[in-house]
Amino acid sequence: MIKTFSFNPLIILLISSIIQTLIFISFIFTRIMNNWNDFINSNVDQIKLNSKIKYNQKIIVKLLKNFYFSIFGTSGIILSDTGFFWLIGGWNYLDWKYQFINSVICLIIGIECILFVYFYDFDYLKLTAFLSSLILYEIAIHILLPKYIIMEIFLKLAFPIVLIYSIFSYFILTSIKYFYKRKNILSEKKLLRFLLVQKIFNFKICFIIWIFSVIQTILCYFGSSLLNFFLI
Amino acid sequence: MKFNFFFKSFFYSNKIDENIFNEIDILNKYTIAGDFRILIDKILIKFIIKNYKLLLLFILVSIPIPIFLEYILNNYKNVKLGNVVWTSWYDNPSNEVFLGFQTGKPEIATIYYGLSLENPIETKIEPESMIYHILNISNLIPDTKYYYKIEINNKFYAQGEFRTAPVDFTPFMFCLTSDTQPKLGEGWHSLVARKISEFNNSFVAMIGDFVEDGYEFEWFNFFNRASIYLKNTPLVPVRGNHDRPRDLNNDGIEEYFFEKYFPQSDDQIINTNIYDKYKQFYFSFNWSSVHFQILHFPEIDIDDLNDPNGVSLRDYYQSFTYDQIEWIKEDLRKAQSLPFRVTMFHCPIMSAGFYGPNSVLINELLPILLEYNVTVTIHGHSHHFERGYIENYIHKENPLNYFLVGTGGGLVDIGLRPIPETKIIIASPCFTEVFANATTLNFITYSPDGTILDNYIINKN
Repeated sequence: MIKTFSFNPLIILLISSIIQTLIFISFIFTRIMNNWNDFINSNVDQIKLNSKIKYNQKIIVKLLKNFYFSIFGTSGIILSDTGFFWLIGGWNYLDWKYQFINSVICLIIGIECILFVYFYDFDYLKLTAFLSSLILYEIAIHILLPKYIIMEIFLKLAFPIVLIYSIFSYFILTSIKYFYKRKNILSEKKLLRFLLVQKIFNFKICFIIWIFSVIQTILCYFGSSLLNFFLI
Repeated sequence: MKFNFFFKSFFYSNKIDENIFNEIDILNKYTIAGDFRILIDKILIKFIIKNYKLLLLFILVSIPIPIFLEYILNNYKNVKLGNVVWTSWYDNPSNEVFLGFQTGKPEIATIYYGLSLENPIETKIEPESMIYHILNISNLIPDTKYYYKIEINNKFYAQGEFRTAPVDFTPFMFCLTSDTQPKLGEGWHSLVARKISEFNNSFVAMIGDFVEDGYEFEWFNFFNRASIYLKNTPLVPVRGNHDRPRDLNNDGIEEYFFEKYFPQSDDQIINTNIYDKYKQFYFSFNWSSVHFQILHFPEIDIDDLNDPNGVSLRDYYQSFTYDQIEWIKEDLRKAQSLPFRVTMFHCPIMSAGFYGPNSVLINELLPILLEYNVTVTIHGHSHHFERGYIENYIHKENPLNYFLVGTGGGLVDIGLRPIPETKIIIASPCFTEVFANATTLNFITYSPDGTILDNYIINKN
């Protein structure tokens, strides 16, 4: 048993399944929107808005999108850390039938979020946001927090600062990049474009992960686990 | 399909942005024209027909989850109390117990009890009609199984059984669970209760937090779910912080259901300070080789930074009254002849949960427990299972073992941080069965599927 703090995979699984549900809904929504645009383009004549309105709308959409990603990225760090630390022995393995599958799901969804948010179109600003968030999170959770006698106070006061930093570092850095129109300077290099990732986390895999995470969450809610069924 | 990958378009392609504006253009055109019907006829319906599979999938994914969450979060709020009767006792379970139950309106109940249901030897009728029924049964024979049947208005209400305590060191077993309150839904209390009912327990000790917000329907929910073992197993209650009196209707009157359901407190002195308005809940009893002591320390959390030692004045003065402290010492002094002394109170002295080592309990209560050689303390409050021990600097051969059994419901701690005293932590559903005889206490912790998670034996000396 490693004497450090780690989140409970049973609780974090709830967040994982919500995240995966949002991802999957986003995926379906994207497809619907693409079909919608294709349909409109082929049926109706387009009327262009003036360029200023279009530019403002574009900025709003981009900022919202960045904020959306930043929450996913931060969640990815928490989820993967939780799964990883349970698997390497953060707690004892006595209740492995419950926690093992939770940890694995947390780890997979966490990695999924991190790869797509921070590494899909690689650039150094995103890498900076990721590394600084990760280091701050690890120091806060695994080094500083265990030293506090009253853990709750640390979680209420200091942990939100870590989360806010993690969310806004990505949001601000990616937004700055957009405003200064440096978008393609680094991303064109595509130093770490994870083609493999695209193949791994495709529609079918996302759907399977979503199904597993939701079923496991419901079972956990009522005090059971998928492994309880498989190992009877 | 134009796009094969999930994030390719939605997350990083500019194309999707431009397409959104195309859509806005169209919407603007028809909106300005003021003719929504054209928009619906020509675009939306055709589009829906063409893409019904995707839209159906979207609905299937997004809608059931909120409905499911709404159902499991609020379902328990509509329950009504079934015909549930619980058995408990004051300080002498060898000779006297009481049966408690609640009826929807004031009623007079009649109880028949004896060594069998067919030939009950005694009948007892309540003197007046009431809603909260407490029926005392005394002059019982030790270590004997009794059966009872309750009638209201000459109609069958409920029946059950209980066993009185032995006067010698007969082996027995009892169960420990805690924190069954529903918060994010009902949780796994039913599952744990069903498994507990499969054991031949002499009693189930419920270490506080029966309910979350103190509403009556929450108590109904608890009794209904626990009824599976309450019909043949007595209940030993400990008061948790969530079981406290509350002004539920904002009318200035506090409702204190716990005291109505469990009247066995030994506290005779109230108003020892401005916060000591109600009876503290403490009592004790002997069962075979073990002296059980139930104390009133529901919430001594040291997280209130503006108060002395981090403890709110209300929490401190409702627990640390001179009469309770003197009672603890006197009670433990009388129990020295028994092999084991087990003290149960809700707030843990130390834990891997939110509050860590509790400096107030360590300074003001722990020395008393160590001085009188308490064998084990049992707690809830933190929502995980934990076993550990604290060195006893007075009786060096007998460390004080502590157990946290806060995994009886559905809430679990969001995270844990083992402290040096921690030996085992588990944050998934479980409950603890204790097998006791004259020389050993054997604590076995089970998951609801029957797997043994922890097995720990404490020998006398």
